[in-house]
Amino acid sequence: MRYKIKSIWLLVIILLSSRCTKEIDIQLNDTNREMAMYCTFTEDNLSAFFSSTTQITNGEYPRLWKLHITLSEEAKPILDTIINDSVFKFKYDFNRGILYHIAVSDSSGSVLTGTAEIPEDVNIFSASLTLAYKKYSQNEISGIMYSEATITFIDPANEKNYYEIIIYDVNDNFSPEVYEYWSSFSSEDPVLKLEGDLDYNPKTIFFSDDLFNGEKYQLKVLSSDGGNYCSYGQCLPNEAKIELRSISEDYYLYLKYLTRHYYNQQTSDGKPGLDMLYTGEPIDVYSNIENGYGLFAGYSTITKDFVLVPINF
Amino acid sequence: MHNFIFKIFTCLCSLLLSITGFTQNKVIVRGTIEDLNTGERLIGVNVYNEESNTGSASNKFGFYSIYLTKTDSVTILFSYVGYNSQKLKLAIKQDTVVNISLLPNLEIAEVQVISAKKIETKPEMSKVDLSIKDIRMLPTAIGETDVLKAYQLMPGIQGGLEGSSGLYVRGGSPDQNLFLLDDVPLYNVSHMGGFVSVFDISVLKKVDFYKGGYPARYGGKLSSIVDIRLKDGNIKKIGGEYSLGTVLTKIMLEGPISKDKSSFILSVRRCNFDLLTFAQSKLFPDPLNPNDYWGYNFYDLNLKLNYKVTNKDRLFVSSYVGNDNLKFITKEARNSSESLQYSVDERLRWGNKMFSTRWNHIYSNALFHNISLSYSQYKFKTSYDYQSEDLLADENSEQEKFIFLSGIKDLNIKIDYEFLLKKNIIRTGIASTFHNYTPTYTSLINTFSNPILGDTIIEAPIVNTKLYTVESSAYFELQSEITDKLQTNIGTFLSLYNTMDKAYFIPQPRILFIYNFIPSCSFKASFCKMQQYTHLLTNSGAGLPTDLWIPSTSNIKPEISNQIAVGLVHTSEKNIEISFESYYKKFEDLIEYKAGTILFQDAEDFANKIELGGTGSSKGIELLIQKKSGIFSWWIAYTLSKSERRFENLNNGKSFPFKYDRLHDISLVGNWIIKPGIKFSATWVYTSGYAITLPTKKYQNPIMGNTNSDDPNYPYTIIDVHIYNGKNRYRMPSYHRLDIGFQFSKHINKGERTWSLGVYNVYNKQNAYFVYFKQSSPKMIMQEDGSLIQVRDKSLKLYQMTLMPIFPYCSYSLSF
Repeated sequence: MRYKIKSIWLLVIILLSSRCTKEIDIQLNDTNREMAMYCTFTEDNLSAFFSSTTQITNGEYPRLWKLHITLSEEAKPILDTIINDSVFKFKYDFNRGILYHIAVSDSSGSVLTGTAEIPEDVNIFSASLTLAYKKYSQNEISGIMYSEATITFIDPANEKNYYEIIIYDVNDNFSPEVYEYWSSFSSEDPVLKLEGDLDYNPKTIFFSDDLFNGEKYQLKVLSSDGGNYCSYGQCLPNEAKIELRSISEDYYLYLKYLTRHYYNQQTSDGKPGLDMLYTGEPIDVYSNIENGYGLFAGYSTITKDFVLVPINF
Repeated sequence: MHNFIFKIFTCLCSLLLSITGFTQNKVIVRGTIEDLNTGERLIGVNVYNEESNTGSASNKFGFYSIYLTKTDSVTILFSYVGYNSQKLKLAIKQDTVVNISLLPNLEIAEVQVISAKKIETKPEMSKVDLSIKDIRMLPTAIGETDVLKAYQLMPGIQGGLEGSSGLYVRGGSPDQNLFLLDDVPLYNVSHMGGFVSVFDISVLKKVDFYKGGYPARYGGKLSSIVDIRLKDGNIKKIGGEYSLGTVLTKIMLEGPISKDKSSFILSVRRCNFDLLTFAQSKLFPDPLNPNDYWGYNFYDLNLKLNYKVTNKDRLFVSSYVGNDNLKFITKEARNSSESLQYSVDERLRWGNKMFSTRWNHIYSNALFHNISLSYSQYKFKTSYDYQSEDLLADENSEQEKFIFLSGIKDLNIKIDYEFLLKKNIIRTGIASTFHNYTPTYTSLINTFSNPILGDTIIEAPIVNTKLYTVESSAYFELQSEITDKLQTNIGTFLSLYNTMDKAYFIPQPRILFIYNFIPSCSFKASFCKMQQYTHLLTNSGAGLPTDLWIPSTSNIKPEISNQIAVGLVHTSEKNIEISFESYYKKFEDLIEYKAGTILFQDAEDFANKIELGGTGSSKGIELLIQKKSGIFSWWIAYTLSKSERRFENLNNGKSFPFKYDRLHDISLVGNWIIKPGIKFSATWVYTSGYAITLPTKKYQNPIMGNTNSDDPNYPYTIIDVHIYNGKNRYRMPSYHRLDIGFQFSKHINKGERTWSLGVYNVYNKQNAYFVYFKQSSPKMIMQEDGSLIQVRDKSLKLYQMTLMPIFPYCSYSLSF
C-alpha cells in the first residue's frame, strides 16, 4: 500500500513538473506567393527594396531574381531595367506635381504597380538642437545625454499636408544611410499627442497638419537617444542633422501603420524571455501597391546641420 | 418605433389589469418564511398547493403569497434546498397571514427537495438556477468554491481564458454584466485574474442570474444581470465558519446584536500567496539580489448589519471592501560597480468598495417598499517608487515617483415598490446614480539631489481627466397569471442619462410570455431591449486588470442590445428538468480599441483610441438537462453559438468573430452524496477554441535606423512585416478539463468540520492559454570527425503556453 501511495505521488510530481509549453499545429500557411516593395523617391534619387512573401513559419525568404522594373513619368518611360537583387537605386531629376508610375514583375509573371508624386516642399523657418549631459551619479564617469529639438516651419494653406522629421548623428565611420537615427522620443506637443504614435517607439516623427493648417508651427520634441553616450567624462562635440520631409498621405499612413504593426507584432526571433503573442491588437500595414504589398511614394526634403556641444549638469 | 411599442405596451397593461378583479371566491395566504435556527429570511422558497397544483415562491424580502380557492381544507407545501419541507393544512375562508420557519437539514434528505414549483410554471425565462448548497459541492482550482465559476458550467455562460477575468454571456463581453451586491453595482468582480470572484460564498444568501428575459426592474447592462443577496446574519445565536486552504484563509462570524431584534454578519477572506513568496525569499534568497521580493495577495471584507425596527420595518447596512495587491520590491540593491545603492517599490492595486443602507417596509400584506442609498467605487492604481543614493558622495541621490490611477465612483439612490395582487405582482421604482469617472490620473516627480547644483525637482504635468454623468431610471413591471396556462411579465425600463453636454433617453421594453400547454411542458418567449452607458476598455493582451471604465459622451453613444429568445421546458416524471432555449441578440453602438492601439501610455486620449458605432450579433441554442434532487444530482449543459462584431474601420469593414465566440460549449456536472458526511463531485468541461488573429505570411521591409546586416548593400534595419488575412480568423485548440472533489464532513462538539480535497485538471490536459511563435532551439549535430556543431533551424514554430496543469487542492473548514 505504501508503495502504491508513493507511486501515486511520484506520478503527481511528474505531471506537475511537466512542461507547460508545447508545439501546436494550427494550419496557417498561405502558399500564395506575392511581392512587396518599399520604394521612395525625392528630387534627385529613387531608392527601392523588394521582397517576396513567404509562409510565416519559414526561416528564409526566397531570393528575388530577374526583377523587371519600369518607371514612367506621366506615361513617358524613363527606366526599363532588370535586376537580380533586392536593393535598387536610381539617380534622376524627379519633378514635383508630376505622376510617376512604377511596375515591377518577377519570373512568376505577377506585376506590382504603384503611382505617386512628390509633394510640395516646405522650408524650415528656424530650427535648434540642444543637448544636455547628465551623469548617472556624481562619481560615475558615464552618463546619458538628453536632447531637445525645436523646429519651426510654415504649413501651406488650403491643402492637406503631412510631414516626417528625422534626427540623426553624422558619423564619419558610416555611410550616410547608416547614420545613427535618434529615437525614444517624447513630447508634450498637442499635434504629436493627437497623433498618438510616440507610444509605439517610432524611428521618426510623422504627423499631419490637422491642427495648424496654413499656419506657422513650432514643434518641440525630446529624445533620450541624443547622440552617443559620453564616457570617461568626455563628450566630444557631435555633428547632427534635422531633416524635415513633406510626405504624401500614402507615405504618412504607411509610416503610421508600420510603426504600430511592428510594435504590436510578436517579436520572438529566438530571443530569450516570455514571448507573449502581441503587445497590442495586431494590425495590417497600409499599402498603396496594386497586386502586392508595400509603398511607392515621393517626398520633399530639407535638412539643417548642427554641431552639438553637451551641457553638463 | 418607440411610439408603437409604447402603445402596445399600454394596451397590454390595461388588459392585464382588468383581469385582476374577476376572482371573487379566491383568497390569499401570505406571510414570511425564515430559517428556524438563524431567523434569516429565505428567498425563493417554493410554496405549493397540492390540490390545485399551483404555486409561488418567496420574494427578496422573504415574503410569499399564494392564491387559493375558499375551502375547508387545503394543504400547502413549503420546500427549499437544504431545508426540511413543511406541510401545512389550513381551512381557508378569508385572506390569511401564515409565517413559516423552516428547519435546515444536513442529512441526505437535504437534497430530496420536492421541486414544488416546477420549471415550466415559473414566471421567468433564461434564468439560471443554482443553489448555494449545490455550488459549495463543486470542485475548484484553489480549494475555494466560487459562485461565478459555478455559473460558467451552465449553458450560455462562458468564462474567458483560464485565469482571465470576466463572464461572457450569450456573446456579450465581460463589461456587459451587471453585478449587484445587495442592490449595489460592482465593477470588477475578479481576484487573481479570474480564478476567484469577489463574492465570498459563506455570506451569500441567494444569487439570481439572468442571461435573457430580463425583468423590467433591472437595467444598465446588455448581457446579464447577476443579483446577489448577502445573508442578513443569524438573529438568534452566534455562529460562524473558519476555513484554511492552500491559498486562502477566511473567517465568517454572524450573530445577534440584540436577540431577535438585530444581527450582524462579518466575513474576512485573504489570499496567502504573498506569505508564501515572502517565506521563499527569506529561505531561498536570490544570491544576486537577496532583498528582492514579490508578492500577491487579495482580501475581501463583507459586513452587514440588520435591524428589525418593527415587524414591518427593517434596516440594513452593508459594506464590502476588496483589493488585489501585486508588488515587486527591491531593497538596498547595488549596481555592478558598487557605487550606487537603490531601492524600487513597484505596486499594482485594484479593487472595489461598496457601502449601502436599505430600509424595507411592509405597508400591508400586499405592498412593500425598499429604499436604498449606496456608494460604490472601483479603483485601479499602479505606482513606481525608485530611490538611489550615491555611496561615494552622500549628498547625491535621486528619487522618482510615478502614479497611474483610473477609477469610477457612484452615488446611488433607489426606491422600489412591490404590490402583491391576487394574480399579479406589480413592481415599480425609480433610481438615480451620480457617476464620477477618472479614466486617467498620472503623476510623475523626479527629484535629484546634487552637492554642487542642489536639489532639482522635475515634475511632469499631472494628467487628471474627470467626467461626471447622471443616470436616472424608472421602471414598471407587471407579472401576471392571465389564465391557468398563460403567464406574462411585461414592463419597461426608462432611463435618462445626462453627460456634461448631451442627454440620452432610452425606453427599454421587456416582454415575457409563458404558455403551459400541457401540464409538464411550457413554451416561453421573451423580448428585451437593454442599454449600457458605461464602457470598459481593456487590454486584450496579458490579461492584467488594466481596466478603464469610460462613460458615454456626446461622441460615444450608449451601447444597445435587443434580444429575442424562445424556449421549451419540461419536467419528467423522474423529476428531470429539460430546458431548451434559442436566442438571437443584436448589439448596436459597441466600442473597441482602434487597430494597433495599446492601452496604457497616453491613456488620457482614450477617446481618440477607440472605434465607435460597432454592431454585433449573437445567436445560439442552449440545452440543459438537470436532476436537482436525490443522492445523485447532475446536469448536462450544451451551447451551440455564434457571435460576431463589425466595425467600419476594422477588418476592412467586414464582420469578424467575437474573440470569445465558441461554437460548442459542454459541461457535465455530478454531485453524489456517497453517505452522510461524504460527498463527491466531478465536472467535465469542453469548449471550442476561441478566436485569434494570427499571421499567415510575411515579407521584408526596411526601416530607418542602424543596419542589422553586414552586407553593405543593405544599409537599413530589415524587419518582417506580417500579413494577418483577417481579424480573429483562426481558432485556439479546443479546451477540456476534468475536476474532481471530495468533501468529508463530521459533526463535532461545537459544529461541523469539513475537509475538502480534490484535483483540478485531473488528466493534466495542457490547455492553451496563449500561443506564440518561436524559433526552435539549436541542435547539436556530431560531424564526421566527432566534433559537435550547433545548428539552428531558422523556421518558426507555433507554441502554446499552459497556465494550469494538474493541480491538487485541500482545504479545511469549521462551521459553528
